[in-house]
Amino acid sequence: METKNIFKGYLFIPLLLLIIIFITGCHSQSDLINKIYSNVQYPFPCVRILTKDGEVGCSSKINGGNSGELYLIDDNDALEDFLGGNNKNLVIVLDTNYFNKTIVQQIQSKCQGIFVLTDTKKSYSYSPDESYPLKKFGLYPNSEKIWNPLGDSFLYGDVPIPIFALDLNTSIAAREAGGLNKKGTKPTWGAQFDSFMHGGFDTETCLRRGFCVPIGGKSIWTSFSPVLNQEKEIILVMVPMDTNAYFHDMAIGADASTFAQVILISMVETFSRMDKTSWNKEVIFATWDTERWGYIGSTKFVDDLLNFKCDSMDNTNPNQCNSPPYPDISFTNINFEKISTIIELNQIGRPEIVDNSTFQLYLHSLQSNSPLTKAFLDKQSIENTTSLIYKASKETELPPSSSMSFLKKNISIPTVIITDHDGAYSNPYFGDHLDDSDNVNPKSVFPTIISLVSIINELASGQPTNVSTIQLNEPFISQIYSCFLYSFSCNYVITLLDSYPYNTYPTFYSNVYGVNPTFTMITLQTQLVYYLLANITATQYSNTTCRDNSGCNYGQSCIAHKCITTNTHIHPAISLAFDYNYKKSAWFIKNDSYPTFVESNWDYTSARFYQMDSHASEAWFLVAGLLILATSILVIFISKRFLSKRYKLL
Amino acid sequence: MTQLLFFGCFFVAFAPIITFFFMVISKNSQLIILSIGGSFFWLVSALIASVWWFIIVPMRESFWFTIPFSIAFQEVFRYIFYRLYAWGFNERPSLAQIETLARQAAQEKRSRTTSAGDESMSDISAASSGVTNRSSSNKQQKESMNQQDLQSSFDQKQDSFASSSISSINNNDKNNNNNNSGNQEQQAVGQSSGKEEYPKDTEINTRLETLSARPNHTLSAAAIGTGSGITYAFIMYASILWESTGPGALFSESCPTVNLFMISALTTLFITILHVAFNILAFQGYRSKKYHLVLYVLLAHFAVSYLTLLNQKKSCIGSLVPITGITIFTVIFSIYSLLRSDSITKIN
Repeated sequence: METKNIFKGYLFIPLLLLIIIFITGCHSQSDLINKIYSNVQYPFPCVRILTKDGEVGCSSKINGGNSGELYLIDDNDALEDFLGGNNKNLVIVLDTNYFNKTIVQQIQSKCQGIFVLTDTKKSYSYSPDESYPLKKFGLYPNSEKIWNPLGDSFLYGDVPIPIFALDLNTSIAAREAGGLNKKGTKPTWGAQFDSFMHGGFDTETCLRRGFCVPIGGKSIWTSFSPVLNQEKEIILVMVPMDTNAYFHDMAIGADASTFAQVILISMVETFSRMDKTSWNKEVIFATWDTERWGYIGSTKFVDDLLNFKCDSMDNTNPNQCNSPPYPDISFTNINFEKISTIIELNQIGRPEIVDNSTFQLYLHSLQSNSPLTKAFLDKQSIENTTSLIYKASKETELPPSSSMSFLKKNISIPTVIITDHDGAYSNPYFGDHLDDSDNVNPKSVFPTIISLVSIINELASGQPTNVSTIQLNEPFISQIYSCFLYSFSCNYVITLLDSYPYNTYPTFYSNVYGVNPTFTMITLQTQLVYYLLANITATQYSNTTCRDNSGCNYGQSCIAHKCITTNTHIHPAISLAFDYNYKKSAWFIKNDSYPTFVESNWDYTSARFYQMDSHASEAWFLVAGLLILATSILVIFISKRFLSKRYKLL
Repeated sequence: MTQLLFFGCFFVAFAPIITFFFMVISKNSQLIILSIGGSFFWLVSALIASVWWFIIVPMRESFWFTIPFSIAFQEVFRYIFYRLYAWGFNERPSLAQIETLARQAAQEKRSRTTSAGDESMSDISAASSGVTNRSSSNKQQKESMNQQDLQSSFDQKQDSFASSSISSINNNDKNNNNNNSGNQEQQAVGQSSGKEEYPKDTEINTRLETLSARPNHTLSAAAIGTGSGITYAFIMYASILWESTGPGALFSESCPTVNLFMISALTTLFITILHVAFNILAFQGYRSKKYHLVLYVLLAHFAVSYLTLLNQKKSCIGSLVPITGITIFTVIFSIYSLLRSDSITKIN
């Protein structure tokens, strides 16, 4: 009877355990957590992208993510030891030199996650992009050409573990912790990743389940004319705006496009102080978003120029279309047929240096002897004062560029794509987070602006430019340059934007388009470009304060809480592959010949470091606990029997 | 992965006290009620201590300042609960007392008459009512509870019966049943004495009666200590124990190689045991007016509390080893003083 009671009593223990877990799980001890864990303030995760063919990128496990002991791989011995070992509960701290497709594929199945350090520079050139970036969405889908010989297509690989990049300070700390583990210091250091991605399988499935949002953004175009004259020919000066990198929040893409974007904004600023009365052509400056995902911004714009039809106009605002939802249809003033010249600034951050002091850029054009290329090539012969010259590329094909979207519709548009490479890319880190401010040549900024301003002025007015009339606003240019390439925290960020960025690491990843066509996203970076261009090209400033465009008079835009009159516009950049089903409230694939990149939803991403105990000591402690349990049961049982013979227990 | 650590810590910290609870306390409903009361009183003392900690803002980080007040509140509430317990229970006899009384009465009766079988039932009834009468008549000369000291000595049994009044037992039949059932339960646990004197009454739900029997003072004190010990362990340790499931562990400056979950588990283990031992000792001291026991509890409580402070910076060995020593000594000391006291009744 006695023993029976014991067992009955013990039935309560699992119940009690459950209660403990429930109670203690409900309120966590934040103080204690802060003592145990040091969170990485700015984690740079690799996130999951889906295409119509499957998954790309990384994801952690769902509950609590992946965790393990740190293991530093900073030399070949460590790598070989790791590959030879059997411990699968390790988190790899990977020196940047070991971060490439080959090595990650070797270690990805044997570890819990990877931290990529950024405290040192890679000792070799590397590009995670394709060897011919975006070949199937370009003009030459069957080309044999290799533009990016360094590329190993790692960006489009699927990795089953989470990979995070660390900022400089955290990298130093992680390297130190990994080094301590290597030395065998106790307690060991561990880390935990949490970057669970909701989406999976492929684009169609993921959109249907509502776990993904199409990648997209906002293109921006501007003109100095208050209203475009539809009779005039159009010179389109454009750059791709967005960049890509394995870690989207680290996509500075300095040479890839950010340098060109700084040049474009600075050019517009320079033009704004020049006499433009002699211009007999319309000049449109445009930066296309989401170009790295298949020329989405430019393709969408061209498609809208050719095929846009508004079914239902807004009653109050003649510039707004309700169906399809376009808040701004000013682009209907642009006649595609009138686009007579396209000048695209592509990778121009690393011009070749000839004769010790002269920078040289390459012109890629299908019409090698057109007046357009001549205007560039003649520049050097006329004015020897400029320290930037152009050289026609020997390539017969155009390099991957936004112009292809226009040329697909009309191959005969005179086009020139300016790059710093003749054949294959000279950019050693195309599509990598190392394509940063160190990867471009800041000395070429001013000559490039002067040269381009003078050429475009010449093309627009038909008269030669007097270079002495070009006055650069050097403080402005320097500030924009550092803002876009070093730290996204300049004065313009503070004065023009409503919110200060959480992380000032500059990134121009295009982001997701939005959960539906009317509720779309715009990144702070795109906003800044828009506000800058709108402010620069504004023809009229008013003192009316506003919260959005509806607070301003017709024709005005609300820029940084002031109503101004400007011919600067935002254009949606979303793949033509997608359409929105209003009944099901979901995006769906309408035409999968266009890019079908979607980003998976995720709640948050976090990484944290901590010290941990060895498995063995934990196991021994459990044994000790069970021994104590057995001992106390035994002691109580025996002493009860013993005492009950001698004493009255109740 | 660190589920290992979680269960290790859980068993180390909670196994003895929970085992004690389920194997001893849960056998009797009154003990359970007492242990709940103990946990309530400990909670109230903790509440007041934390209010005190909260209102003295500049001393929040100085634990050496908070500890004496917290101990004072705990000891004050221990005394308050003792008063409550004494008020509620002291007037009522325990099952063992009733039983001894009844047996004695039966022996007396048997010495006079030689009746057998069912007559003994009425004997007990008579004895019980006799005791009732006697006790009510002796009520004026009823002395304080320290007279119970003498309870264990066989010679002064009459006096002890007088001091522990059974006037509350009005229903003689019920009292009878109680005796019988208690007896049967004792037989079940291996007691054999007095078996032939008391016939079995199978009509009675013996288990229920055992459950509701009035326990002795030692077990009551232990139950109260268990209640406060379990509450202490849950409040102070279970909340941090949960974090031991996370992949990370906490290490202090004092013990850079052993994580704090393990150290805290061991500390909790000792302090829960101490809660029981302290309560037994303190109640013993209050009841029998042996105030040196209360003083010992107070000093040991202070010592253990201040020793835990060593964990912070100085040395965890210097903290754990003395606490272990104090725990072992206190347990032995409480058993020793228990055996010398009246709280436990020897079987002859």
